[in-house]
Amino acid sequence: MQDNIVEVLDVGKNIRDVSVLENVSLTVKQGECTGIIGENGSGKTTLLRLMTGLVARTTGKIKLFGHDPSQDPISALASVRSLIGIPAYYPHITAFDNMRLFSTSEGENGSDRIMAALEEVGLHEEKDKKVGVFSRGMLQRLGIAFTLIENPLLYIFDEPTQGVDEVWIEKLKEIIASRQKTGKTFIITSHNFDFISSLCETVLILDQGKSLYKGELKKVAEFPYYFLLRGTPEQTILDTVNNLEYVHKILSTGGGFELTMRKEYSSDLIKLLVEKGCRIDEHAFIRYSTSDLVQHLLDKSKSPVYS
Amino acid sequence: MKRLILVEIEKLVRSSVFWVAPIVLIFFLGLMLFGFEVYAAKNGIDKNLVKSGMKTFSDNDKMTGSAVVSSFVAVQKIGLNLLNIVTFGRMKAGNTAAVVAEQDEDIIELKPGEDKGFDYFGTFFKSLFNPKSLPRPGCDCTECPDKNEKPDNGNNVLGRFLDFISVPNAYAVTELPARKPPVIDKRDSFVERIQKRVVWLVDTVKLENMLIDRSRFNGLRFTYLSLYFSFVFVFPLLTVSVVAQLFAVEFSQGTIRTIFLNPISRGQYLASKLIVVSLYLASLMMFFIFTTMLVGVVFAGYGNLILDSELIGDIGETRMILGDGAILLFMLCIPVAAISFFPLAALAILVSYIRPEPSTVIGMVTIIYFILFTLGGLPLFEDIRFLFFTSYMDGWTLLFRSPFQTAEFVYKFLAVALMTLGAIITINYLSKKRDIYE
Repeated sequence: MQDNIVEVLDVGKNIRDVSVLENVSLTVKQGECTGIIGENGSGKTTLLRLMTGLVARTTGKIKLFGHDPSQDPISALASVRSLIGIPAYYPHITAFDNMRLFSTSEGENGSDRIMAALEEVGLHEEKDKKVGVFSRGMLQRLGIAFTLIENPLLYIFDEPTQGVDEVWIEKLKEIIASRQKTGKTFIITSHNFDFISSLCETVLILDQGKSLYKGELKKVAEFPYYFLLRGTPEQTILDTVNNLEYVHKILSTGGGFELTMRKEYSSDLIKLLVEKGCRIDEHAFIRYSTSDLVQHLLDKSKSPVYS
Repeated sequence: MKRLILVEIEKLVRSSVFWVAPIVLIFFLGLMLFGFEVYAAKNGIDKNLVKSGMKTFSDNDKMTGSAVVSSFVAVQKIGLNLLNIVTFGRMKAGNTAAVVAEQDEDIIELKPGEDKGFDYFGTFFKSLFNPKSLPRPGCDCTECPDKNEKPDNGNNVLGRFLDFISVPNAYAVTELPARKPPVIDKRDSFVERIQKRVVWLVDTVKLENMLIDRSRFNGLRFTYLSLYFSFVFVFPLLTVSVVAQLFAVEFSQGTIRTIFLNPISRGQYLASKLIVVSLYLASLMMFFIFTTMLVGVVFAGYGNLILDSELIGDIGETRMILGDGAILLFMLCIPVAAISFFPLAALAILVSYIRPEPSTVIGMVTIIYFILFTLGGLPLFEDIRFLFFTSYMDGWTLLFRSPFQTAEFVYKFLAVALMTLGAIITINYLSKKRDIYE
């Protein structure tokens, strides 16, 4: 069995002479879960399209299971199932029949596998409904079900949490985790950093088509959080936090402050402010959004936490 | 690949165009029939009889097809009696025309509405349930001396069937002249000898079983006219619509992305679609030709196909194809015409890859087709019309020409093949280069 089942080497894509992806590299080992994060337009989905052969690359090399997906899609994608973009199915055909038409599932138990996949995403009762009446969330779940039918070795999910509720997100985590235990490999893009960080060990962060960070996700998890603080007197609070080394950034918002700092210093900060006679009305941590992560990485020279 | 083709067939069957196309054809057929009957009534077809019946291959050197047609008719005797049953069952003097049969200076005339035919279907099925009820064909004919006599082919189903397909039904001809054997000249080649024997055999069968000519205006003439106009106006539109449904819709709905996320090569996908388009076009043509023949024979009667200038333009002399031969030629039209639509289909596929909106594909390709079709007919463009794919789409009409224009037929076939091949290579190249986003 190959160690690296996905090999992306210095891949670039130009659309009408405009570079949308530049020298991006990524390797994924069997059994890994790799997250790709970045802001809108950063090139996440383009990278997945290149990896699945939907789009022809301008530069670089891509191998899935040792085969180039644009030259030999039959071998490269034989054990890969993907959900990229908004799932598209025939609206005038039922969910079950759509699965049957699109899957390459053959043999006697093809229908059973389709039913099992629909059941796993909770759409088994909707199997006879035409896809045209499905909501965005249902379509997304149908797209996930489609990838589950063949039980492939590699799953590629592009924004799988888009358009679905929290309950389904938790269910999807379970589906992915259960398959990870059996050695399946995942590549997932998402704006939902919590979702990525709860599943993936490695991460690739893209910004404007370039790779900002590639490596273990736990290091990204050490990035500072936003700490929202509201209290009085404001000047005393500002003077106090200005002198603290562990507070990286201070932003004054209407009626409070937005501090960038690591979570473990929060109790020290509150204690210090109370000792200085401040009254704390409200305080809360907010995890970085994907955008904040990217901004933080771009601004990492100012950050002592991640250098 | 097999699975891909089956999936494409299922997708086509589930699409609207699959059902709309035959409905459009039936609508067109209705219009043609209406026009045909109105024309016949207006021009007094009942009275203007064409005294050309009973001319056979052997004694009429103007006959279409010679070896080709006579071979078809010979094959017909073996394999297509069922079709005869259907068509001959309606062999009545008819609705719009009287019958004149001419043989050796004798003219036998049936008045309009006079029934000298034989209801094969009704009689046959009746006989299956009650063998004794099987009448001698034409038993209502007063000249028939053996009207109560049962055929002696056994009393089983097969025997009755043999009786059924072999009994004469053309009782308008009561005394048939003895058929002389073919004159075989020693200088005749082997092929010519075979041909003469086949022609003699076929003519004998014809004379005994079927030869009553109708006026020119019969079901087969109706079939020819319907095919001609449908191949010019209706089938091009249907071809483009089918391609738009099969190709452009996949792009516009985004399902092409879902397809290519599977381990499928673009070449395989293109090939499966092309096969399904071809099969469907051929099926549509088969459906249309059979329906048109049935409707034509039911409403306008059976007879020989008179190929005059009204049908095939400047042909020099009026010719006749025996009814059975015409039926076979119409069937041969199915693959020939389907192939001649390949360049149009390929053009539509090409446009689907460039502008993947079904309405754009239908609009653009239809306009291109009609422009080229029109220009190709103008003398001004005589020297360059060979560049237009529309110039090669009438290859099927060559089947009805006499003598058979082999060189022209092969030329048109090769032109169609080359144009299609060129288009497919381009499509395959574009398909591989095309990025699929949404």
